[in-house]
Amino acid sequence: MAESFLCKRCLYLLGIPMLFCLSSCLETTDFTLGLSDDAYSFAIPLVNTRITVGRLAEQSTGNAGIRIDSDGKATVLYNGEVLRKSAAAIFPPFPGLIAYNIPDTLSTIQLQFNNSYLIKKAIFQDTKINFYFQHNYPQDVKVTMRILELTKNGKVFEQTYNVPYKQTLPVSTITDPLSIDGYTLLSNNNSLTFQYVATLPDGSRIKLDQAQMNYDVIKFSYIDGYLGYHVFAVDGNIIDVGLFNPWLSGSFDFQNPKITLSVDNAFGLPVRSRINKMELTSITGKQVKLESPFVTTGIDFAYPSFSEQGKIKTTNFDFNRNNSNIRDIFNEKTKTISYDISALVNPERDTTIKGFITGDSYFVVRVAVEVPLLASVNQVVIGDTLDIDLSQQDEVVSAEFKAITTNDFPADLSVQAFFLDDQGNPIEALFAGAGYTLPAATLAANGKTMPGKENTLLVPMDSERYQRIRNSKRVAILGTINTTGSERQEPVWIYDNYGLGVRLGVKFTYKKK
Amino acid sequence: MVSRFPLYCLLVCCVFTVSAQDLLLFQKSGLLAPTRSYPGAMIQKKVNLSLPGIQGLAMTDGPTINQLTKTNQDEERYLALEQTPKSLTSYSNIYGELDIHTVDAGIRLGSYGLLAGHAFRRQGNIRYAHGLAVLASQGNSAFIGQAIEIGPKIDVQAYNEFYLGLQKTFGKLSMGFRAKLLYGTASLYTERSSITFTTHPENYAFELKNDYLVRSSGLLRYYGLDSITVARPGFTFDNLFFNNAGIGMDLGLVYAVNDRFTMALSALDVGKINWDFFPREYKSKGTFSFEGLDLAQYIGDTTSIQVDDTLLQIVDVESGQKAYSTALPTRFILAASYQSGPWTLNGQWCMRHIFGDWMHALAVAGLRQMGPIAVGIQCSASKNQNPTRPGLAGSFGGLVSFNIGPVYGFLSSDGLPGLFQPAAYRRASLNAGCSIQF
Repeated sequence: MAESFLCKRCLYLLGIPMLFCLSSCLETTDFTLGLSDDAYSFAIPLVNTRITVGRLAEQSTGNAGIRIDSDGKATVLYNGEVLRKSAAAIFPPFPGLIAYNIPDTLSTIQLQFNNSYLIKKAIFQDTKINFYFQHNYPQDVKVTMRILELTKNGKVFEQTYNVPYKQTLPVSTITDPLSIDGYTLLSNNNSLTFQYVATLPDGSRIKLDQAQMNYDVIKFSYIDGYLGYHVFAVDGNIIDVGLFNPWLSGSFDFQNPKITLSVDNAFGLPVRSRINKMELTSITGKQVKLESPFVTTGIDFAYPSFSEQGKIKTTNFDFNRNNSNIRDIFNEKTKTISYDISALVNPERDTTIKGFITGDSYFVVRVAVEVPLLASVNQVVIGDTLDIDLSQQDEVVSAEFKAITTNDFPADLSVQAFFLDDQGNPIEALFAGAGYTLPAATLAANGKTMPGKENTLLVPMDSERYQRIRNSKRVAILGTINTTGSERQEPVWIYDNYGLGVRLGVKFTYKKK
Repeated sequence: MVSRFPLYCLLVCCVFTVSAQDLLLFQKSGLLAPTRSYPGAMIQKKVNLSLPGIQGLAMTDGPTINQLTKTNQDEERYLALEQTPKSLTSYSNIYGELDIHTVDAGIRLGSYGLLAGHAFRRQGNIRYAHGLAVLASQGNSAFIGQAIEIGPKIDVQAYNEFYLGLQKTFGKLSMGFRAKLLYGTASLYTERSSITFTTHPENYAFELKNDYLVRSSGLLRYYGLDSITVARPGFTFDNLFFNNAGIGMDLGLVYAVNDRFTMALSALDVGKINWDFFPREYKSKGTFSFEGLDLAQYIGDTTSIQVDDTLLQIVDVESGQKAYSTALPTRFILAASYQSGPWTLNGQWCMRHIFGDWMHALAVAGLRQMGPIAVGIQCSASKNQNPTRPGLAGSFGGLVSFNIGPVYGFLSSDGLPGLFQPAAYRRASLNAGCSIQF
C-alpha cells in the first residue's frame, strides 16, 4: 500500500513550506517538530492510466512482445534464441602450421585445406607470406619469385629478393612478411605454382638448395567453389509461452497460432533446416509433438545467386493450422515449445554445386511463436497469488478507494482479490460479491468495439476491515475473461486501440503511532 | 527533515506592531543612541562614542505559537490552528529584524553635530497563507474541490550600512540628516507569490496554479524542488564596497516648545539597494497537475517507479539572472515628550513600511529618573494593515538605563513578555547599547 508513503509525502509537501515559513532565517532552539496525536485526512490520486494494446506493443521488451499489423490487429510474439553464423563458420581462418617446400625452380604445391573445400576463386585478406632461401655459393644471389595462380590487377605475383653472402656458408635468408591482400587465387584443385629465377652477380642462373614458403594465416574476403557440407545447431531450444500461465479454468480458442522460422541468408550456398524435434508442453505437463510434412522434409532457404552477391535473401516459414496440428495442441494451454533444429549447408553434398561466401556474409535463423489475437475466450478464469506485507502500514487508519474505469475490449472482465492469512484461509475480499466487473464494450458491425463507458467504483475500507487486510500475508487475485460471443465460439480480433482506463484515488485517515 | 523550530519562531507569533522601542530613549536626547530614531535630537557633548549595541525585533500579525501549534504526547510541537480561518486566501506575516551597531561616533562643534557610524542590518518577513497552515494541520480531504492559496511570500535582506550625519540647531529647532551608503550581503525577494492548490473531486488529482517569482542574491540557490539551499544572512563584510550597492537617508526635526515639552519628527531609512551580485530569479507560472501514476510508462520496468520524483517533476521552475532592487524598511515617526521633575511622559506615532505593507503604531511611555538610573514602562497599540486580519493589538515594554560619569548604558524592550514567554506572545524585542560622551 502506498498510502503511508504518500501520506508522509503529502505532509512534507504541505508542511515543509509551512514550517519553512516559520523557521527560515531564524535561530535554532530545542523545539522539536512532530505530528498531531489526532488523525490527518488526505485525498490523493494514485493512478491515472490508460493501457492500450498499442502502448503495450511499444513498450514490450525481452523475448515477448506484441506486433501491430497495418490494420491495427495485434499478434503476440514469443521469440526464441537467434542463430547467427558468419563466413568464418564456413571457412575458418586457416593457420600456417607448416612450411611449404619449393623443391625446384617450377613447383606446384597443394594447399592443405580441409578436403571438403574445392576453391575455384578466392581473394586473400589479412594474409602475409614470406620465403626462406638457402644456397652454397660464396656470392650474393638475387631471387625472383612468381606465384602463377595469384594475380592482382591482371599481373601475376612477382617479388625479387637479395640473398647476400656474409662470409659463411651455406648462405640463407628469411624474407620479411609480405601482405598478399587483394591477390586473387584462381585454381581448380587448391594448388599454387611457384616459379623462381636465382642468379649470381655474373648473371648465371642457379638452383637454390632450399626454398620454402610460409604464411601466418590464410583468410579470404571472397571464396567461391564447393565449400563443404556443414551442420549448425540452432542455439536455444525452448520458447517460454507465458500466455496461459495464470489459467485456472475455461477454454481458449486461438484461431491461428504459428511457429515461424525466419532466415536471412547472405551466403551463396544452399541452406536447409532439419527439424530434429518440435514439441509443445502444456501447463499441465502434457507433451505433444508437432506434426507436419515439413518436419520430415525440412525447409530449404533461399540464397543469393552469383549475380546477387551482397544481397540478403529472406525466407519466412510458418508451421500453421494448414500445414500442421499446431492449432489443436497450442490451445491446450501451451507453456513451452521445445525444438531442436539444425541448419544444413550444402545439404545434398553435391560438389558440382558452386557457391560463394564473402567476408561479411552471414545467415541468421530466428524461431518464434506468433499468436494472432483472434480468439474466443470462454469464461476463462486466471489467477495468481502474491505475498504481501502490510504490517508496516500501521499508521493508516482507514481508507476509501475511488476508481473510474473504462474497458474497450470486446470481453467482460471481472476481478476479485482475496486476502489470505498465513494458513491460506481467506479473511477478506476486496470487492463485494463475485467481484468488480468491467462490462465488455459494444461490438460494432465492422468487428471493432465502441469506446468503453466509464464506471465508478467506491471501495470503502473502515478501520476494522483495514486491520484484517493488514494482517493478511498473501493476496489471491482472480480474473475472469469472457469474450463477446464466446458461447458460440465466435472469435474476435484484438486491436491496438483497445485498452483499459483506470483513474484511482484514495481518501485515507492517517494517524501517527 | 525539519525537526527544529527556531527561536524566532517562538518570537514570531506576536502582534504586528511596528517598533516603538526607541520611544523611551527619546527622553535621553543629547546622547548618541536616540539619534538612530531621532536624527534631529542634537548630541550635547563634544565627543560621543558608542560601543557595539544590538537592536532586535520579532513579531507577527498572525496567531502566536501557542495558537498555531499544540504539543503531542512526545512533547513535539505540531501545527494545529485553534480556529479555522474565515477565508482560505488570508495570510499572516512574521517579521524579524536584527541590527548590530558596531560603532557610532559624534562630535559637537558649536551648533553643529557631526555623526558617523556603521551597522550590520538585516530584516526578514515571511507571509504564510492560512490555507497552507490548514492543509498542513488537517490534510486536504476536507477541502476537495476548493482552491486554497498556499504560496508563501518570503523577503529577507541583509546589508552593511555606513553613514555620515550632520546636525544643526536653530534656536529651539534642531535638524539632523544622515546619508547612508549601503552594501547588500544577502537578499531574498518574493515578487509574486501566488500558488493555488486544488484537490479535484473526481480522483483527487492535485492541481497547482502558480504565479511565483523569487529573486535572490547570495541567499537562495535552487537546484530542484527537493534541493533548495538557503544561506543564513549572518554578519559579514562580503561584497563590501563593490557589490549590491544602495543608498539611504534619515531626516529628523526636534522642536523644543518650552523647557518641558519637546516634539520630534523623523523619516528613517528612505532608500533602496540594487542587487546586482549574481541576482538569480526563479519563476514558476502556469497550471500543473498530478493525476496519478501512468502505469503504462512503467510496463516492464516496475523497479523505477518513484512517486516522489513524479510529484516533484510536475512543477516547472525557470531559472535566470536579472538585477533588481529592494526598498529599505522606511519609518516615519512623530513623537512628543513632556518632562515634569523626575518624570517624563513620551508619546509616539509610527508608520513603517515592511516589504510591501504599511503598518501603524501608537505608543505612550513613562520614565522616572532616580539618580543615575532611569526606569520606564511603555504601552503600544498597533493597527494591522494586513487586510485579512484587521484590528488593534497591544504590547508592553520597559527601559532601564544608567548614567555614571561619561558612561551611559541602556536596556529596553517594547515586547517584554515575549522575551520570557515567546510562545504566548506575538512580539518580542530587545534594544541594548552603551556609549561614552564627554
